[in-house]
Amino acid sequence: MKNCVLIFGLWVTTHFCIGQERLDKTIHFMDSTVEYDVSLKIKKGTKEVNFLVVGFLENGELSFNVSDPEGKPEGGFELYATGEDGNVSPGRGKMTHTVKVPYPGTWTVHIKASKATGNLSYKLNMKTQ
Amino acid sequence: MSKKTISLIANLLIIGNLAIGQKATISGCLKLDSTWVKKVYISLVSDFNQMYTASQKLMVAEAKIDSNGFFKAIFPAAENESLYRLHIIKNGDPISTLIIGSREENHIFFISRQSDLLELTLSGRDRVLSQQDISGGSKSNKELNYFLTALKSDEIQRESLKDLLIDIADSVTSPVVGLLAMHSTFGLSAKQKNRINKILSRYDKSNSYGSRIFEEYKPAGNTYSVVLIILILLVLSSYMGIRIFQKRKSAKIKSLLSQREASIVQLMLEGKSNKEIASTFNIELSTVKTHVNNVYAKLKIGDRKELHKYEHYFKTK
Repeated sequence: MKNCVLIFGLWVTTHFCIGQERLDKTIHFMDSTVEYDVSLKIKKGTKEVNFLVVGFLENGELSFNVSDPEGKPEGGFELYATGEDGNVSPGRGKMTHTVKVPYPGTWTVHIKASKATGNLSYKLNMKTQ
Repeated sequence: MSKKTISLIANLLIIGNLAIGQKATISGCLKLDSTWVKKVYISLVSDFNQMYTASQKLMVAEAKIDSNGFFKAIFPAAENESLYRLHIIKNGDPISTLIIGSREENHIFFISRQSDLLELTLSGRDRVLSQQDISGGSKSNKELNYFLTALKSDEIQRESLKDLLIDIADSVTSPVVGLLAMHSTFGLSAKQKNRINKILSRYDKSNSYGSRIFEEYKPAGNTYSVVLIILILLVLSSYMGIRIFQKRKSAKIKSLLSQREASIVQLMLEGKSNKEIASTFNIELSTVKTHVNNVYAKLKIGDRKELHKYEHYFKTK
């Protein structure tokens, strides 16, 4: 299962790299431990990028972070499905973010899951006109 | 009133003050529609990397919002200022839900320390919560609001933003805001990094919020000291090595000569003539000449001038 998630992640990476203007993906985690970067090429002249990311975690830990080519964090969240008392409690994170005139170059989406059970959905919309 | 009663009252007063002193309060009014849960949650953000971490682990208090929208949350607070997050959730969402970057952004940050009384006053903006709505406590919250507004602004060019973040770090009185501004910098030039270094020199290095930035901008002095020590050790070891080499070579050269020949060489190096040497040792002049010729043969030299290139071997103790 872990490998399936990883392969799926790599498939998503490929899709990002070919410069799609829209992206709508959901990753399912089943006790998965994976960590990978997804590259997103932003062309010069892109007017706006919209992110909508929703993560739901029943167990484990999950993080999603976006940074621009210079490493400036552009948003993200971390979810922990464990409370102070050690009891498991589901976590939900939702990020909507609009970047006007994004810095051109390779943006990085960093996804990290540790023994995670849940899902992560992200939609991306790039406006070029 | 007995001494025991007075003592008991005094103790109760002290305990009461301590209990109040180790806490802070945030109160206010939130007009939420029916899609929202009527509760506020307070999280202690002890590391800047946790600002957007959704977890029950971070939560330190919660309070109900009454039918008129009023709430009052009392939460544990330290003597030094710390960063907190207040958030609300929608019906059906887990309590660790963060909505980032839309009109429904469900959280705001504030700074507090022991005994602070903070207030959340709706300013009538089109958002559920707005960073500008926080007031009270120290000047730190005004500085935090200014910083967070600048950071999120789409109107500030990124190069200007880098300088602005450094300017904020340079001018604020709140160590948490200053360190947060420096923590938020990215892609800095050498000149900008130099400015950060100067600003950091004013900060208390034990402030845990600065651990990453202090590590990143660790004074180069330590590195220079280590390099200097290594260089000194290298020079010393080279000097010692040369000395040992010279001593060994000296011993080797001396071992070529007999004791009498070595003594004659010492006198020759002092500029004594063969006659004077013969007189010193009370031996025949011809014997001295034989010794001198033997020395020349063993050292493979032709005359007294050449002998001087061995001078330091015979002077070495």
